[in-house]
Amino acid sequence: MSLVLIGRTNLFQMNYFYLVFSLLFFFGLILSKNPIYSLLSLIGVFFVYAFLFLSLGLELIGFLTIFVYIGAISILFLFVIMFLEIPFLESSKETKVINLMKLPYLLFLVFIVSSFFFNLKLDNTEINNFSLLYRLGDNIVSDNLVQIGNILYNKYGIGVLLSAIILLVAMIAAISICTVLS
Amino acid sequence: MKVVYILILILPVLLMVAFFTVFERVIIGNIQRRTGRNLVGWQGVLQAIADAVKLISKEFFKRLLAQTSLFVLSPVFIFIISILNWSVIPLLETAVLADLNLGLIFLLILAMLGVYGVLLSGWSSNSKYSLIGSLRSTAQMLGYDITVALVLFTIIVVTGSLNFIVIINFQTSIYLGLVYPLILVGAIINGLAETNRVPFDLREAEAELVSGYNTEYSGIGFTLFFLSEYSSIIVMAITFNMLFLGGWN
Repeated sequence: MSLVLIGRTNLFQMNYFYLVFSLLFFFGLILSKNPIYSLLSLIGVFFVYAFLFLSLGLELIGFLTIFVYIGAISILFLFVIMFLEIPFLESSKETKVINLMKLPYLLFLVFIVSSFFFNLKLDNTEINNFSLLYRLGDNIVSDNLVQIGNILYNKYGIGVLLSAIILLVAMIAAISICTVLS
Repeated sequence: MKVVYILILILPVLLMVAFFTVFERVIIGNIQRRTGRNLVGWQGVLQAIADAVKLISKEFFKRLLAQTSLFVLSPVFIFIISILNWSVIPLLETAVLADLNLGLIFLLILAMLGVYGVLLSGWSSNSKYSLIGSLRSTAQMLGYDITVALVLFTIIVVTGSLNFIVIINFQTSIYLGLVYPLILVGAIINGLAETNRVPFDLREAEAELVSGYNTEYSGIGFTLFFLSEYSSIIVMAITFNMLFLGGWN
């Protein structure tokens, strides 16, 4: 989606940076020996995507990415991984890799801070010039929340209901697998 | 201009947190009928500054085999998160740093992200007490985040907005706390649980775990945890004031 946007307008050239950062974080996810650090790289990937959505003006989707993926799911992963016994890495080669893993965090922090100083647009005034999400008739609704709510519950209402039923079935299946019949 | 506003915002917040601790000790001392804190300054007012000097001048101490970067960065992270809360809180209708459409969701996100500081500080300090304390407090914070969200959803449904200024201006005629007193009670209980005050202070757990997740921290690390904890209390109080008691109306 971001590539399409780059093709359409010059304003979002910065999106290439987000792609590069997500690649760096993915390398960190695969290469690091310590599962906690690799999970932190995964959280970095989610952060990059959240900031990508924010810079596109999709503030609700960006916030919900942080809220759901980072705030809920990754914490559960961390919870489980913390109970693993992690061997202490002694050889210098592996500690060098770990030190390299810190690089994307540092670069991403520098990038985000500098983007505020160089006046990167973080609002959705330009995004509404072409119909990215949905247009309600002729009035362009600038609020993300209203747009997404209208799409979800009018156009794709049946899909929302179906996915809710699928989630319910999955929950019942998980509970029924866990129950021990005595 | 914004940098000046940020400085004007943050410095009083830190001073307020420092004197809030003194205020709390005054109340606790009066409840327990003892003097306490009456040595530094007039009536012990300067006790906060003496505490700060003592804490900062202490040595920052790290256990062997602790994960150094996470151990150092997690109190910094949790402090930044607690200060970031103040960016969306409007002091007046014109005086607000970031007038977000989704201010309430932003506060919920920060509450969720603060869990990471607790969890990683407990894991990285390489101590069983810290790890168990961090897991307990994480379970509590995650559990009560859901009920805080439920309380906030009623406000969102009634006012039809997530913006703080809209919510405050909605209450010009009557406070929402008077309309929904039971939800206000629920909000107060959730606030106590989120900030780990007295009925819900499982996180400290002085009897079985020494001091919870910050057992291994000393000096500036402990100071940052302490500041963020009290700052989150004030943020919670101001948030519920804006949501239920009409803010500046």
